[in-house]
Amino acid sequence: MATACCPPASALDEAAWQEAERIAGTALAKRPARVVGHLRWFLAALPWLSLLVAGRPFGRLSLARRVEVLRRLERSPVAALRRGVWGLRTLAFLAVYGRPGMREMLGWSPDPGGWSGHVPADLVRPTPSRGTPALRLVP
Amino acid sequence: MSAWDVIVIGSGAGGGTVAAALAPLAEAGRRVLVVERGPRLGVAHARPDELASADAFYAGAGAAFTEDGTIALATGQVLGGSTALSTGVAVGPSGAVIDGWRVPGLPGADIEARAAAMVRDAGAAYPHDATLNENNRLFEEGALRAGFSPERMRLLVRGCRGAGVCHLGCPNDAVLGTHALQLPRAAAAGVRIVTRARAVAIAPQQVVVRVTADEGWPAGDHVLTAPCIVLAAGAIETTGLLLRGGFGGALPRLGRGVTCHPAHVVVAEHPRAITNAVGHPTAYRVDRTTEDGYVLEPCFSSPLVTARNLTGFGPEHAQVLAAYPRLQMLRVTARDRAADGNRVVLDRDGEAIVRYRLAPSVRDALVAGQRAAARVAFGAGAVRVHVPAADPPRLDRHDMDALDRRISAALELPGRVSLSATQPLGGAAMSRGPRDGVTDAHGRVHGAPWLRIADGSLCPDSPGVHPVLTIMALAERVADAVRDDLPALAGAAPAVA
Repeated sequence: MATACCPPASALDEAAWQEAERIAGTALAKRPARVVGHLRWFLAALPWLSLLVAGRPFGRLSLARRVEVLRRLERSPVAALRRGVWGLRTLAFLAVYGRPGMREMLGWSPDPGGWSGHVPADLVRPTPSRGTPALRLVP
Repeated sequence: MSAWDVIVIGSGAGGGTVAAALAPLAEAGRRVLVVERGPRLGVAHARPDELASADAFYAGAGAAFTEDGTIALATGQVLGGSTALSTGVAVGPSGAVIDGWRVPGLPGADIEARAAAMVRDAGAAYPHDATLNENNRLFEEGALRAGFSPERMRLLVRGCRGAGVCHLGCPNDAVLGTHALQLPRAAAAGVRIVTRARAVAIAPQQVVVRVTADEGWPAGDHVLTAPCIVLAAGAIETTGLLLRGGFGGALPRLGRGVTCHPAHVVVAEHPRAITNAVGHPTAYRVDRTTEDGYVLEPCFSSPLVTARNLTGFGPEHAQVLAAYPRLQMLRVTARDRAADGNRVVLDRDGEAIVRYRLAPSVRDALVAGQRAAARVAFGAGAVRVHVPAADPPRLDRHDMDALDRRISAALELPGRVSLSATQPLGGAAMSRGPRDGVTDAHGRVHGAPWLRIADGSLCPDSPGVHPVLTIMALAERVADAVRDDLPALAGAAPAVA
């Protein structure tokens, strides 16, 4: 399911998976019971929903078919199903993109120094005072 | 049990302002206390870490939602409240909007004047061209090409180095929230400030505060008394405290009329890397509130938050995120209006939650805003734009002529699209009397003169996007009344054991 939502998950090794699961577990522990309860309900219903939508249980579908099933549920007129997909994918993103080093890999290296800190060489600071005739100020 | 003259619950735009305005009382020997549920920013944020900051500084560890789970509520739970995690944007209130609330004794001109004085005193300034990043520049250029009139906003910042992580707590302490301006002033005058202390119950002239970690007081429950208690814990927490205290019986409107300014983020991909992560994130806006009900602004979010903000998942989603250094980001914020059904209620555990449904007019405003954001981004040279209310969300340049068809209210489905809100307001609105609201124009709770409210929950309707200055001006009026009323209230206070 994580890979269907977040393809980079397929590249995780054993240690990275453990880290991802730890992040997801920590996050879930801090969520309100109703949010966790809804996600649990959705995960329990997913095999049956998949059977209904794709004719096979979710776990026996190819990756592409899993994505398709989740897409259909995401567009469902039933809000609880849409929320289920949203919760699932958000947890997957948190687990995968929240791992140490991922933000740098994606191109974000926050530096308290800002402009005077590390700015990648291929980024240019805009030229000051180009001037905009139409510039308006919020009073 | 400890006795105080005034207890202020909360330290954000409302509580921080009240604390500073009551500084003369503290200097005169009155015992004034501020309790804040969250911690101090401290130096923990010197190295920006979004998971750690969300955990430490945001309500619900950064994962609070409306009751149905469709809108993420990002509100600060830290000394200074959301002002400590803001970009410092300083947009003044509209006197005409305040007058439109029709609260007896609340002249809009007074709120405007107070906010203007605050902006002046704090030294808010328009950012210089040299400090702007490309995300802001592209917004300005794209907006002009798309036929809009972008405006540059004043910022309450001092010594901004462009770290770009305002939402994690500025590592350079450049944001002039109440944690940096009002609370230090109050503390210097003798106002006591206790953090990691949550008000859990309220009764006449008494409040129970639960201290969760030793940051001044020992952990455990503390019973505090004061002739005057000011609630300024934010619209959700303040209203929840009142509901738990049983005030709903005499005040049937308690909890009702919540607004939150729901927002989308539209992400645009450029052919080359742009400066977005460095520099102040939000210096411009296009204000279409009057015409179309939305405000458009440049914004910045980390990869993790961007992943959440994007609609959808799977390979297309991953491709957008892989282009992160080339992404321009724009926020579409709708100005929603107070509606009875949108309210703060208590859940089974007695915690306050927001019951909120998107009105058709808000959905239309968000859709109009997304169309405008796409035009701005393409006008700025983006090769493709990721729009929540499109299916598929990805739009290419050749879709430019079909934006009205491709971006549709029918696709603005809560639960499918990512919505967030940082400005919950209302729930304990000012009014004429107890049948149509909760307080008078000076935050005095109807029927409970010892209890005052001084935060965004006072707003009977949306004051407009960026309500911080409005809240501060309202809170200052509340503090004025506390100063005036305290001698009488103290005279009537029960003896403390």
